[in-house]
Amino acid sequence: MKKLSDAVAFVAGAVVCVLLVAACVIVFTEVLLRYLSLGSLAWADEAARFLFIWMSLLGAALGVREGIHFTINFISDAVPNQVRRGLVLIAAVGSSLVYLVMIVEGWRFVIFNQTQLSPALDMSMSVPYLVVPVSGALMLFFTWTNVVMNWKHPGMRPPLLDESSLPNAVE
Amino acid sequence: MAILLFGCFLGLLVLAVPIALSLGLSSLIVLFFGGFPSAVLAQKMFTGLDSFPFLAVPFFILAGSLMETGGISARLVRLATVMVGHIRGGLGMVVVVATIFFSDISGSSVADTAAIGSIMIPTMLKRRYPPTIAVAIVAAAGAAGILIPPCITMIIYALVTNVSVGYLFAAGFVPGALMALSLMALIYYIARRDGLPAEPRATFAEFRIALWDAIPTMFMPVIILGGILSGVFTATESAVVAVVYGAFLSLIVYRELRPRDLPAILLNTAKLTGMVMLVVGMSTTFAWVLTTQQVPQNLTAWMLSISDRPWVFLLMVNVLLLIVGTFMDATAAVVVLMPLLYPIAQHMHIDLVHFGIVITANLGLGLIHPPLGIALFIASGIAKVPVEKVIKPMLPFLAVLIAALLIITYVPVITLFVPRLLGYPG
Repeated sequence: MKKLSDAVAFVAGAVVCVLLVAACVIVFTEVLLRYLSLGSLAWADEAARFLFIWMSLLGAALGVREGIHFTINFISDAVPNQVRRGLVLIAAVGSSLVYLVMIVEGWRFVIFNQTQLSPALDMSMSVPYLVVPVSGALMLFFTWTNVVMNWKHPGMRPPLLDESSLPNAVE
Repeated sequence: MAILLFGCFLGLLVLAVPIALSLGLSSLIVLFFGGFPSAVLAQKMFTGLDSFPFLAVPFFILAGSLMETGGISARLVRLATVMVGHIRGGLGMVVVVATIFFSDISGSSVADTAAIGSIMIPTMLKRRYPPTIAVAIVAAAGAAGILIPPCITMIIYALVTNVSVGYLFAAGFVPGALMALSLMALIYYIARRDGLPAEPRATFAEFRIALWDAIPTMFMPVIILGGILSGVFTATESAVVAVVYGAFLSLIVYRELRPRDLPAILLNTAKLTGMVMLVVGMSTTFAWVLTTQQVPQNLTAWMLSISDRPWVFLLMVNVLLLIVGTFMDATAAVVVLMPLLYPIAQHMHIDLVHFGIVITANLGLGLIHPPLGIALFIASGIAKVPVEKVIKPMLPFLAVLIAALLIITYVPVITLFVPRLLGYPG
């Protein structure tokens, strides 16, 4: 199960990196063209927005896997393991309802807008809208793989400080 | 219905459901009982994020981590230390300046404090600053720095309330500088009283080397602050230029960053962005439900029935946000509370740019306020001192910041001066 979760996260992570770099390149090119008075790209704004939404929600799904989303923890930290396992289950079931709505209603929206074209890129609006069901499905997947993998240590979340990754003192 | 919404939301929060999903799920419950289609959630999630100025969020996060990992921040700090290290408490003052620039650059106070604190706190410890003072300085400077652009909280506030990000950034500059200067004065006083260490005066050769090494890095603050304050760039533009320049410096000029380190930085940027944006995406439905239930109108009427004086409202906001800010990240608190608070502010003719600065300053203070302030915990963790020991040395810093907050709240000219110079009509 861990392998599957890692593999899905790897693919999503690679996609996210490409999207972010693409957004940087597009916006920077647009700024450069404008300040050098070389005209502008009519589609840059729209493309950057769509890339951003895809990147954000896929990033949010990867955040679900790592349990980094803003949570108020001081009560769940204070209770014994048994109770915390219950809290983790409640949170997982509750979140899953939201993810299911993202998947089902998001998908309907994708189908409904197949023929609708975006104003600048002239691309089917299904492409940007697809992020809602896709990220919903990823969040659902990561939520439940986490519940299963962390069953023995419920409510596992990354330590607030990962000391290995921090930069050093200035000499 | 409104009570159901808030009851569910608070209940879910207490059960340790993430804030974003508590917003989403409580809205879904009300949509269900109110007979609205649940498709609203899926649609609003997309439309809520579909805004060009939001791109400043990932760009600033990315620029910040390029500066930290690429040795850009370290060079700026080294130069400043060579310049003022021989003054008693000089290093503390350098830390204040460096920290205000880098705070709130990621939208997560945990990530920010970890990134800044792990450079600044060991730097101070190495020069024999007491750990408790080092923690207090970094925490207090972080709270002040939330006002100095780039600031993710302000970007979110601007989009929730339809205020220009540029004016808001410009407005934060003077109050942030006011807070920073008061902190530096306090550090100077403490340094004299407690005899904080001073470095031997740097030789001219040392100064020349540090300066030469740091010259290219100085364009970074110029691009970000200068670009925004002069009105040459929008926030998003200055952010993307900072990314490209930061990548150029760290990959090509200093070569402290290897290309194979990039994916991890990009991935981390996307996760931090996703963390903020999931709250934003879910909150659009929550705000929509609030509006259909006329909650903002009712709350405004209730507020007016207590008092129609803006200062009473502002004082209540001060207290409320100080409490909320101690256990909720600033960005999340803005997303959750602003749809309720800004209609009241608008009704009372409080300038929304000024109000935004009050809110941001307030939430920044909440982050470091004992006993729960998240940033205070992280900073203590880095210095390896228990939080209880930091509270006492923290008190004078808190007193200075609270005084500054009250001045900022009740003397709007301080905030509105710079944006008016740039043509803000308010």
